[in-house]
Amino acid sequence: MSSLFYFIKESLVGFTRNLSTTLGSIITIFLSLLIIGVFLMGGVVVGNVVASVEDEVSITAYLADKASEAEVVSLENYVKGLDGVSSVEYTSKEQALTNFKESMSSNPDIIEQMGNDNPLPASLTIQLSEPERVADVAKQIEKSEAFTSICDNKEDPGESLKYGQKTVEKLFSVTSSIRNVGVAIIALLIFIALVFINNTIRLAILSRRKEISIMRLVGASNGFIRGPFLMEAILHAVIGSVLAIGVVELLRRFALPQLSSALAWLPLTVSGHTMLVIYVGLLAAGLVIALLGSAFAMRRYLKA
Amino acid sequence: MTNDNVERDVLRPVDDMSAAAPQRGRHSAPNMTAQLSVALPKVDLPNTPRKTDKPIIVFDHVSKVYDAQPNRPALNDISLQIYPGEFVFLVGHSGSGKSTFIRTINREIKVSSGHIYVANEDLASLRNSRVPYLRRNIGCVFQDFKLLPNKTVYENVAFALAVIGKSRKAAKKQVPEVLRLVGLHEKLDKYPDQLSGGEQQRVSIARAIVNHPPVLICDEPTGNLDPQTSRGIMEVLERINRTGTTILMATHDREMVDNMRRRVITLDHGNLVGDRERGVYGLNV
Repeated sequence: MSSLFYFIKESLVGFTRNLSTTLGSIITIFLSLLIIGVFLMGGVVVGNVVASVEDEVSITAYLADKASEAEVVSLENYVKGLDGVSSVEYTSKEQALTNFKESMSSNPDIIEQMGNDNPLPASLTIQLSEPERVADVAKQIEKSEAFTSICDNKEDPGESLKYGQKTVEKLFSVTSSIRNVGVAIIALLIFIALVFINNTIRLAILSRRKEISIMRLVGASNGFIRGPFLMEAILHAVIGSVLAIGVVELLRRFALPQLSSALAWLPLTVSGHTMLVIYVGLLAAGLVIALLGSAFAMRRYLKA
Repeated sequence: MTNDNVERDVLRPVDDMSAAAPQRGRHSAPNMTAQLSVALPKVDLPNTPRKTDKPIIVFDHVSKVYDAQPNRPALNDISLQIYPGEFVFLVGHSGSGKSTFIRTINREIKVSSGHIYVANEDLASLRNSRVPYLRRNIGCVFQDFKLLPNKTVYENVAFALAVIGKSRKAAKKQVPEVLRLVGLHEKLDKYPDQLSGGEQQRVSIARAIVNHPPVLICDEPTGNLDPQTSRGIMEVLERINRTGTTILMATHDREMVDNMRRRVITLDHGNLVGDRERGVYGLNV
């Protein structure tokens, strides 16, 4: 107990005594974790954007005018039963016309020319829970009896099924490379932070190797020599990561909404829960890196 | 024995010395003093250790070879005993192995072959985790003092107690006591750079003995000090020796060794070439 008190006292004294190295390691931990934190938050935001773009992917199945309600319902049930489908929505001919008129409200000429005819078919809009499987799902629908019997274009059922094949493939290759690059950048940043923090701690311990050698000569046990250094590492890690967490939180509170209103068409949000996980992760990473770094750096001075 | 010289030849008849039988020299000690007293000042020898005691440090065919110089051992087959309460000088040229010898005793250096026993403990088989406890029984004094510049005199000495887990209360009692012994009890709050070299060395001696170790090893403690200051340091060491502490001191200071007339162990290129009770510096350097 008295040694724990000694460790804490020494680490606090060391704080003021070695102010420059102390500040150096705190700032290094702070900046490294800040960059990692910002990139993690950015990664989550971009991930959410990518996911929401992917969620826009849907299949529209156009139906023949003569399809009976029972046939439509049976197709609806069949599609719902497929893997990767989250919801199916029916749009009637009338609804389709209304939607069309709304979207064309700036060109009343076109609507007038249509007269009283309604050339638009009824349709099913199919939302997917696993957007990557869009081509798969579309193929299954195209082959099913329930669809071919009531599809709008009997000669070529595939023509009655729209999901923008080419666009979707491109979108997925883009989103998956965005994800990979994000993971790579964060991994690289963590590695850089590890090297930086480890170096700073090594310098701090190097500057006190005389103290360590004297402690050894007067018969201090290795555990006793390590104590104050590890306690200092904990102190530096906690201060550094709390600062980093504080700044990331400020960015989330004030910078993210600004960015979000500037890019209104993109859903730039992060849930509080995700941020909590990131913050706990930053604190843990700071502690682990600082403790491992000092234990590792001290090893060479504590060899018997 | 290529280093034979006039001084050694003079000594040979009385102190029939050879590297092979270093122990024999001890028994002719009184005779030697009588003869040499013509040339050297007479000194008091209050407590010559009795050879009936068990030795506190034993070197048993100890060799040390550094990786960097595989063909030139720093210590070559050294065997000797040091008894409790002795004051032993270790002399020799630079590079003769003095520092290596000193540093093997607290196991700063592990020997390549042979055994060293300190208080019957074999250092070769001593576990690393036990080394700190060995060192608590061996005080160390160095040429460069090794004081912490950012701690006061009091803190530097108390540090030695704190790191072995002694309470601050114990330090409050022991530190002023030991600083009084070395004559620095009025400079408790000074920092090392506010002290003279001699005073700094006294602080480092105080730090070495505050824990009352039975053995004190000194690696050229007066190497950086002027002759008068050195004498002051030697007085302190003698005072400590009189309390029963065994002292082993490596030195270059011919005058001091000759004046003190204590046991002198001479090393040359890692070989033990002299071990004389009440000896003199001896090498032509």
